[in-house]
This record gives sequence, structure tokens and C-alpha cells, in this order.
Amino acid sequence: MEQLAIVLIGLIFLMGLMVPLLRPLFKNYTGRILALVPFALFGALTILFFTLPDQTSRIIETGFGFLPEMQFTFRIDGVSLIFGMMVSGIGGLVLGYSSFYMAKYAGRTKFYFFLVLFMGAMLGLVFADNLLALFIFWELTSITSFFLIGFDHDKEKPRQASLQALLLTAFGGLCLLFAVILIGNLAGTYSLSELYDKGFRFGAHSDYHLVFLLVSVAVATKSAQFPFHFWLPGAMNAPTPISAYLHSATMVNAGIFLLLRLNPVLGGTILWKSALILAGGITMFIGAFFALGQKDLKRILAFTTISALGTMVMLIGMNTSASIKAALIFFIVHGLYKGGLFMVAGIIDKNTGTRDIDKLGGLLKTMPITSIAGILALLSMSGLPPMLGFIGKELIYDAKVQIPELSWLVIPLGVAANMMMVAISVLVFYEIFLSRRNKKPIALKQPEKRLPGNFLAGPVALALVGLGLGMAPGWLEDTMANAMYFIQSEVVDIDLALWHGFNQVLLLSIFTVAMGVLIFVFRRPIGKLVRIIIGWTDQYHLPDHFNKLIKNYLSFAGKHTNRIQHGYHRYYLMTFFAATFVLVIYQLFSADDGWFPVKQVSPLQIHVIVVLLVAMMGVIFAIFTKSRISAIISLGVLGYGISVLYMLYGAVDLAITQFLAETVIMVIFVMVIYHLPDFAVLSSKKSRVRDALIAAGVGVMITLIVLKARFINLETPVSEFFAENSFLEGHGRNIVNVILVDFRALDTLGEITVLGLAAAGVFSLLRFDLKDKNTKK
Amino acid sequence: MELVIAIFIGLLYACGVYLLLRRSIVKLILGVFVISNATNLIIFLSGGVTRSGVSFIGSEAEKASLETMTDPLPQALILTAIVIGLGIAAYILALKYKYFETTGTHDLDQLSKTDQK
Amino acid sequence: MITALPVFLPLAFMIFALLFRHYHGREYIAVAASGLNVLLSVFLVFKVHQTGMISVQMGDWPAPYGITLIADRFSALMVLVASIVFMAAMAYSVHSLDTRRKSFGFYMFSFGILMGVNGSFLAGDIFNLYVWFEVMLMASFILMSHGGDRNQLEGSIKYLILNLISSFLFVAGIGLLYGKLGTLNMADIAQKLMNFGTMPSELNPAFILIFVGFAIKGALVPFFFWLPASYHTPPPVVTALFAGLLTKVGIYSLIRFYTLFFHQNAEFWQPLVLLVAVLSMVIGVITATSQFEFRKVLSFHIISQVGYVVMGLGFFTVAGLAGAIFFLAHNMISKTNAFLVAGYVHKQKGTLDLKTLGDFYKQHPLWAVFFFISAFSLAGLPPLSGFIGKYLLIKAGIEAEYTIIALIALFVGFFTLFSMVKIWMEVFWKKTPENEEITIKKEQNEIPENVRWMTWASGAMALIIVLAGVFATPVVDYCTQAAQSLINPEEYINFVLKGQ
Repeated sequence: MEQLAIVLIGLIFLMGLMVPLLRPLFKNYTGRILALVPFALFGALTILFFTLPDQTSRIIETGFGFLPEMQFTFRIDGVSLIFGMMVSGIGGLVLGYSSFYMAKYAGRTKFYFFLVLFMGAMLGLVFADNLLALFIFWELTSITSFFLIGFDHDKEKPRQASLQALLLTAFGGLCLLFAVILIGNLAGTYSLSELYDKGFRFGAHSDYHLVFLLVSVAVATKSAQFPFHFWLPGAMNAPTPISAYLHSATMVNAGIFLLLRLNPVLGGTILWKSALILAGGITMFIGAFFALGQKDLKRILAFTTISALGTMVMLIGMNTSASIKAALIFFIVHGLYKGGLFMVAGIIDKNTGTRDIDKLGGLLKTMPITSIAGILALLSMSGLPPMLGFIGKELIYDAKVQIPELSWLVIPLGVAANMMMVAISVLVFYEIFLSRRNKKPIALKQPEKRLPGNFLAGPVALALVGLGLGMAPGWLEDTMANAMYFIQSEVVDIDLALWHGFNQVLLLSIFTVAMGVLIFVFRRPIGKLVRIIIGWTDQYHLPDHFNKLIKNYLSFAGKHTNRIQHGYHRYYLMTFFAATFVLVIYQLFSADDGWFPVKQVSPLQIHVIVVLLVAMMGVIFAIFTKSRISAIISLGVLGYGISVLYMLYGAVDLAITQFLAETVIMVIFVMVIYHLPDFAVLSSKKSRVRDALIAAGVGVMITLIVLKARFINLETPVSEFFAENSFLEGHGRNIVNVILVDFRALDTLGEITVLGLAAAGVFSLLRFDLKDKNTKK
Repeated sequence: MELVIAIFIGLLYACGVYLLLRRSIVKLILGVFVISNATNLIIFLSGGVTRSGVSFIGSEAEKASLETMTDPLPQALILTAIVIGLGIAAYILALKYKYFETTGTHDLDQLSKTDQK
Repeated sequence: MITALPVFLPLAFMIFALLFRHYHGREYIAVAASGLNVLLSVFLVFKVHQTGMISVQMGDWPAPYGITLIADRFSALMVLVASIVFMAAMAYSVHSLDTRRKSFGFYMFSFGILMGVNGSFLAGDIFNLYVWFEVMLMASFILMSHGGDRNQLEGSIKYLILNLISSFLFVAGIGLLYGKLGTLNMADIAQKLMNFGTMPSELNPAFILIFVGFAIKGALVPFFFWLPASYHTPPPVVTALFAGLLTKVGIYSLIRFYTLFFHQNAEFWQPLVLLVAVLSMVIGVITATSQFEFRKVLSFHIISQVGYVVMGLGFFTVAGLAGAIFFLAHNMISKTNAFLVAGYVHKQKGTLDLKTLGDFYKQHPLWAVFFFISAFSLAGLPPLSGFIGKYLLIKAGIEAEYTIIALIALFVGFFTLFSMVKIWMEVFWKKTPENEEITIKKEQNEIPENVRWMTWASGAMALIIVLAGVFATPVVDYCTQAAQSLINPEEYINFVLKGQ
């Protein structure tokens, strides 16, 4: 059964990749047919769910990996089962739901392609045993969600939203990668199972702070924790099925999953507790608060997701058995109601054309089934019995009560947030399903009866599961216990029930609900107040700031790029020389044997000096003359001077070649420029002085470099061999020639190639030109 | 003598760089030639200028000794470099010709366009 | 003898090319010859992988007197990847280049580049390396200005001048080195340096000149200016070829020299190399993100990505070098392919200005996939080859305890992603802005309508990128072995000097 589950995950990937082929085949049934695979997986996982023994995990090796350490090994235990069932179950429902929701959209192939791949990536993520594999799936969820959020990419808003989502989650992904490598480097393994078995704890290591920082950035970006939460409301630009899926079981919950997975390795330190509780608490509060001020149903839901994620992070941060248990249950609760509510929102949107709660109303009458599914989900959200949400909230309060040293902070925060959640639930319930006051009646596009049955199946199924699990939470106990074992490394008995007797926790619950209803009653003044505050915080509207940040960065980069890559070759050259100069001088000074070695080996020869002086004068004349021809001729003086120098030192061949080459160049040069006017003085005096200084610097540098070489061979040169063998083996008396044509013939071959290429190049450059003129005529 | 030649090379480099930094493309090319020559001299000098015998094996002998003659290998290298330099020079000049024909200017600061947005 | 063939095959083609300059099917002959070159390279890699190294002494003169051509695992891999890049470019050119350029020696000059590139990878002699550099340079000058478009001429003058400086410094360094050590054979030089124990200070200036020469060739900060100034000017296929080959040869040579020579004075060179690497990565990526021209974005990124390679070199561990080699190979392919996509966009729309482009995803979904694969591979996303490269380098950095540098590399990857997504959004996703009439230049009318060969070339490269990411294990094993022999130069020295 384990193998089957993994094979099914592989199949999901395969199906995803094959969507472009399958869709023409299945036409409008694509979504429903694709849904079969996740449902099959859900079935397999259900069997495992009920058969997995306590305190055991199953490791499935596929034997495949990108790299030896990057093996795709999977792990089935309580944690991955709970997450996997949510991902596959809701995934199947979302696919079926999309079949109807997306029926009229263009680009469905793309939609299913990325949705199914996204599902596969998420499943891979929750089942991965290898941390690197986990990272790869993590990145894949970021990439695929980028495409899903930007589905409607003709419009500016979805593009911006998907860019923000990708940048933030990819940033987190990079942090995760680094953290994973750090962990792997220290623990010597990337396998979660081995880490668990060894009881490896990172807490005391000096790199712990870095690792924790990186992991928490990864979690905060993925799970939309403050201050990285802002991409999530933007992600609503995706089609509603995507929102339903991203919010309920996948994407944002990946961060939660990661925290649970790494809890045994990284958890339990002061840093872990304080940072997570703080971040989670703030996120929980502001999420709920912002939700209160929204009018768009989907936006309301998006902000409540942020709040819920904050709650989970905070619970994990508390790091007690009770809190982890609460986090797990709350994950299930949240997934069920949030998935259902988004689907309901989608149906309402489709059928009425609006998601504005001020415009909607009285749907209980016109769309009873949708409404009942929605109301059940709302019950769960506000934590009322008999839904699983009630148990979830009780557990949360229980966990908070159990840590007295922090309860002064977490209980008020939690109660405040929950109050608002209750208020939101009531508000939504009232405004959408009940109220008809002051509202124009909403015209339905078609009566609910005419809606395809499967369209409603998603939310109804989720609502019923929430209800069923609330009635019979005992089903969850065994797997929960297994999960707890691998998260907290301790054996915990789980006892879930709706009714725990009359206690402190229940009192808190009642208080919360009462306050929530109170807020609802005074919704107008409170709503106004909230909107004022939100309006005030809007100047800190993070998505805009993020865009501004990007814009500022771009203009900053643009400015500096223009400064660096300005287009003036002179400054490029100056940079080259300056950098070389610095390096050389540094080297010369740092050598311990002095930097100005004036060691003369050969005696001064007056005739050589005369030649050099003449050549030098030629060059200086070339600099200052205004006539082109005389500049070229004075350059020739230099060339011939050097030729004479070679001759004086016995390099006859060289002298001849130099002489010939110089002549050829002069001839070509004259041919090329004879028709040009005289030099104009193009540069200012100031820049000439500056250039002269730079030139002098380079001159000094080169002189020093040459002198530094000190003119002694440290080793016998190989030319000894040439001198000895040139005649005997190479059959030539002119050693230079023998070197060129025999010993180092390959160099000569290259040289001839250069010459040939140059000739062909000149030819094609000039001929091309002729042709150009012809075509112009 | 090495000191003198080294200073000569340094001066050539200085002149060459100064020419390279001019705005006129013709001067730039002159600068390239000067530096190219100076670079060849570096190779030559580092091969040693203590001996000045021609690197020939006399018609009687079978072998020659490095004791008396200039090291032949740097000569071969410079020869290669000169010829390569010639090829490149020819191409630069053709390019220069073409450039003037297309743009009608030899001011290199007109070249900054392609770098800017 | 097989070692010398990658040099002689292009030469033979070039001579042959003179014969069929006006022949109608010349492009197919070029593709066939480049295919032959790929087969040859595969065979070379196969041979090298069996024995570790193979070499040939030209003219049978023993090392260090004659010129050595040597292929170890590193150079054989480079020859192979270069041959793939080259073949893709040749095939791509069939339907992307105008007839005029084709008939004016495009193929001949391209094979000139190939000859220079292969020679540089295989050279075992520093002056010989210089000669191959010059062959490559000459051919690339010509291709850069080939066609005589005004922009092209501007770009090629800068390219030419700045690269000539590199040649001068390099050859001056060679001269100084010969003056001291009396040899040009790389193995022999390394051997002599080892015998000294500590590096004689007289050699440092020569090495600095050589380093600067390579840094200019490899477009490292602060020596990169020629690259962004010129790469966007020639026809796209030329840029693709350059991007895949030219800078990489500079970096290859730097790695070769560093492992053989420079590292023997590690306390000076290692920090310097790491500094240059970090600066290149950061400055390259910042400048790249600021651009709004398809090819310019990619060009600036080259600087950043050679920085990655040099960083791996600077770690100087087996893992670091293996990462550097893998990254270099990956980058040659991914970068070339990104430019190939740019070429397709240019062919369809006549412009590469991000602001005026749009709708490409809708109109050309297949090419969107190609771009996605290449660009996101450059950005280092799994399961593409770039991810493996980035992972190897960052891991090597952590293991070598250069955590800060590894972190910098990590976040450079983030900005790379940003600029790639920028291209994606502007070119592929957004709607074409109104009032932007598509004007395809007149000269482009000479380009064949067909795109079949372009699609095949780019598609094959994209496939390689995916495969190199998903089945990275054998490649990384190979790179690790290559790195091991780089880090222990004794093997190389003994093989060349003693034939073992």
C-alpha cells in the first residue's frame, strides 16, 4: 500500500505533464478524470491511516535522485498522512470543482497542467524524507503557484501578485536551501529518518542561529507570516479553485509542515519559542483584524487564512504536547472550512456575479445547499459545536492555558483574534445568507437546482467531513498519536472529544463567542473604526511598498549601471589600467626583496641608446603632430628603430620580419586614412593632463615589472635543446626558423590561420559594403 | 643596458596608453601599434640581451651553444606575435575605414550609444 | 592523435569552406561538420574518461620542447560542451541568419572560433594558448563586425580595443615567465614552481599580467566592460555563440593556471580570486536587473555567472572545483539557449526591447517553454541544471567554511531569478502595448521564413538542460573526478613530462 501511494504520487506528476495531450482527449471532463488519481491516492492513504501501527514510519526508497545525496526517498508517518490526505482529498475535490468553474475559461490546458503539477509537488513535499528532495518540491510549489496566480496574465494585477508571490517564496526557498545544506553538512545526512533516529539536535551548535533565521524566513514567506504576509491576499487574483486549494491544504501550509518536520531537530530552544510565538501571535491578530474591514468575500477569507496560519505558527512555537496537538487538529479544521468557504465563494461569484458582502443577501432562500455548506464551514471557523472547529479551538485554549509563563500574552491575543473570527463568521453568515434589508435582490444566473451537482459536491463534502469529524473525533486519535511521536519525540495519548466537561477552557470559549456576537451587533461603529485604522495603515500598504522597493531598486541599479557601463572606451581602459596598477604595485611592495631592483647584467651600449632615442622621438612626434601622414611616418620610425634594435642584438629574422610588417602596416594605414582631414583637438586640456598622468603611471608600472624580472634565468631554458637538435634532428641551421617550422609548428599554423582569417575578414568587410551600396541603388 | 631598455619600454607604454585614451580613432590605432611593439620588446628583453650572437648553427658545427647567441625561442615567439599583430592591424584598419564610411566620424565618444539604454 | 583532431577538423572545414562560398547548401555542410565535431568530442570524452588523460606531442618533439596538446577530464568536457553549443548555433543559423551574412563567410569565421576555442581548451603550452586566443579573437572580431551594421561597428571597436589589451598583457606575461623559467610547457612550469617550494617573487608580476589578461577575456569585474558594450549588437546567433564560448575560454584558462601555478602562492591569490568572484557576482547581477533589453539582461548576467565559477575555484576544494566545472558547463548551454530564444523573439518581432514586446506566451507557447527552461535554469531552479550547479557551489562554500560568500552567492541567485522573471513577464506574459507597431527591418527579409531548424536547435538544448538537471549524478561524478585531478597537479605534470 505504501508503494502504491508513492506510485500514485508519481502518476500525478506524470498526468500533470501529460495534460496537454490528455485535454483534447477528455475535453470538458478533464478535471473530473484527473481528479480520479488524487482520489485513488486519498483512498490508499486512508487505508494506511487506519493501519499504520503506533510509533512507526514507513520509508520508501525509489532509488532515484538528481544526485546521490538528493535521493527521492519518501516517508509515511502520521504527519505526512494527515497532510497528504488533506492535500490529495481536497485536491481531488478542487479538480472536480474546477471542471465546472473553469468551463468557460480560455487556457484550461495551462490551468490543469500547473494545478496537477502543483498538487504533485505538494504531495512530494509532505512525503519527502530527504531534506533536499523536500526543498526541490518546495521550490516546485513556488514555481507552479507562480503560474497559477498569474493565470490571468494579460492583466497587470495578477502579474504583480504572482511576481510578489514568487519573489517572496523563492527568497524563502533559497533560505531553506541554505539551511538544509547547513544541517546536512553538520549532521552528515539529509535524511529526516536518520536525523530522527540519531536524535540529532541542532540547538547547541554555533550555527543554530543562522539556521533558525533561515528556516523561519522560509516558513514566514511561505506561510504568509508577518511581515511577509502581504503576498497572500494578492494571490486571490488566481481563479477561485486555486485560492481554495492554496489556502486550505497546500502552499501556505507548507511552512507549517516544515516547522513540524524540523521540530525534533531545531525545536524547543528559547529562540524558537519566542520568535515563533511572537511572529505567530502578531500574524494571528492582524490577520483577523484586517479581515474585519474587508468587503470582498475572497479577501475576507484570505485574511482569515493569515490569522489561522499565525495561530498554527504560534502553537508550534509553544512547543508543548498540547500545543502541537492543537496545531495538528487546527490544520485539519482550517483546511476543511477554508476549502469549503472558498468553493462556496466561487459558486456564489459564478452564480451572482459579485463577491461583495454588501451586495449579496438572502442566499439561504435562493441557494439553500450552497448556503448550508457555507454555514457549516462558518460554524467550524467560529469554533462552535458540533463541528471539528470547536474541538480545535478548545485544544488551542487548552494549550494556551497550560503554559502559565506565557498565558498572559497568548490568551488575550488568542481570545481577541477568535472574537474577531466569530464576528466575521456571523457577519458573513448574516450578510450573505440571511439579510435582505437595504439590498437589491440578487438575480441568479441560474437556479441552484440547475447547477451541476458536482459543482456543489466539493463544499458539501468538506462541510460534512468537518461535521462528521466533530461528532466522531476518535478516528483521528491513532494517527495523531503517531504524528505526535515524530514531532515531539514522545509518546502521547490522544483523547479527542466534543465535550470535556465544564472547565476554564469552555468558559473562555463562551466568552469568546459572546464577545464575537457583541462585535457583530456593533458592527457598524466597529467596522468604521477598523476601516479608519486600515485606512491609516494603508500608507504602509505592503504590496505597494514592495512594488516601490522593486522600482527604487531598479532605478538605483539603472543609475549605477549607467555609471559603470557608460560607453566611453577611455574610462574602461582607465579602469583596466588602474586595477592592474593596484595589483602590480601591491605585489611589488609586498615582496620582501625590495621593489626596485636595478640590476644591470649587460653593459651600456651607446649605439643602442641612440637608436632608442630616435625611436622614442618618433613616438613623441606621433603624439603631438596634427598631420595624419606624419603621425604614421613617425610611427614607422619607431618600428624601424625597433627593427634595428633586434638586429643589433643578433635577431636577424626578427629584424627582417619587423621591417616588413611595419612597412605593410604603414602602407595600409596610409591607404585607409589618406582622405581624412587632419586631427582635430577633441579633448580638453584638463583631460589631456589626466590622461598623461595615467599613461605615465602605466609606463612606470611596466618598467617596474620588467625590471622586477631581473634578467636572470632561474632555470636553463628549453632553447638549449633547440640549439643542440636544430641541425641534427630538424635539419636546419637557422634555429629560429627550425623552431617556427618544426619544433613549434603548431604556433605557426595558428599564426597563419589568424592571417588567413584576417584576410578573409577584410575582404568580407569591404565586399559587404559594396553590396550594401548596390542594394541601396 | 637592461635598465635603459626597460625605461624605453615603459615610455613606449606610456605613449601608447596616452594615445589609446584619445578620442580620435586614428590615434587609438596608433596607440595599439605602439603598445604592440613595446610588448614584443618585453619578450625580447626577458629573453636576455647579454649575448648578441646570431642564432645560427655555423656551417661547420652540428650544434650551437646558448653561451654566445641570443636565445632563439623568444625570437620565434616575437615573430609569431608580429605576424599575428599584422593580421589584427590589417583588420582594425579595414574596420576603421568601414566605420568612417558608415558614420562619417572618427570621434570615439560617438561610440557610447550602444552602451546606454 | 585524437587530441589534435578538434583543432584540425575546423581548420579543414575552413579551407574547404573557401570552395563552397557560393554553394547553396553550405549551411547544411556546416551543420554536418559541427555534428562531426560533436561525435569527435564524445569520443574524446569517452577516451579521456577511460584513461584520465591523453595527450599528443606535436611533431613528436618530447615535452617540454615540443608543443603539447593535452585533454584531461576537464578540458575534454569543455570541448564536448563547446561542440554542442557550436552545433546548436550552426543549426540555428540555418533559419535565423540572412543569406548575405551566410555567403560572406559566416561559417568560415564560426569555425575559426571553434578552432581557437578547441585549441585553447587543449593547449598544454602557454604560448600556444596565446596563439589560440588570437585565432579565436580574430574570428570573433570579424563575426562581431560582420555585416557592417552601425551598432555592430561601434560594439566591435570597443570589443577589439579592450580585448587587445588582454592579449598584450597576456603575451607580456608569457615573455616574462619564459625569461625566468626558460620553458613554455605548462606542466614543466608547474613542476619548476613546485621545485622552488615558495614562489620566487620575480614571477609575480608576470602572473598578474596573465591574470588580468584572463580576467578581461573572462569578463570579470572590473574588466568586463567590453562584453555588455558589444554582445547585443551582432545577429542573435552570433551572440549566442559568443556567450557560450568566449568568456568561458578565459575562465577555463584561469582555472587551469590557477590550479597549476597560482595556487602555489595561495595566500595572495586565493583572497584575490574570491574578491573578484564576489564583485563579479554582485555587480553583474545588479547591472543585469537594471536592463530593459533582452540581450543586455543576459549579457550582464554572464558577468555574474562567471563570478560563480570563479568563486568555486576560489574555494579550492574538490567540491568547489567540481561545482565550478559543472556550473561552467551548465552555463555554456543555458546561456546559449537563452540567447537563442532571444534570437527567435527578434526574428518574430524585430525588436528586443522589453517594453515594447508582449504576448509571446500566447503566440509561441513552445518557445515560452524553451525560455522558461533556459532562464530558470540560469536562475537556479530545480529540476534544471542550474539548480545542481548552484547547489554544488553553495554546498562547497559551506563545507569550505566560506559561509558569507556562499550566502552572497545564494542571494545573487535571487536577483538572477528576479531579472529572468522580469523578462518572462514583459516578453511572454504581458499584452503587447498598443501603438507599438512591429517593424521588422529590411535586412531581415533575407532571413528564411521557416523556423524549423531554430526550433530543433533550441529544443535540443532545452532538453539537455533538463536532463543534466534530472540525471545529474553521472555528470557530477565526472566533474568530481576532473576536479580531483585539477587539485592534484602532480598527475598532470607527470603525465606530460614523463608520459605516465
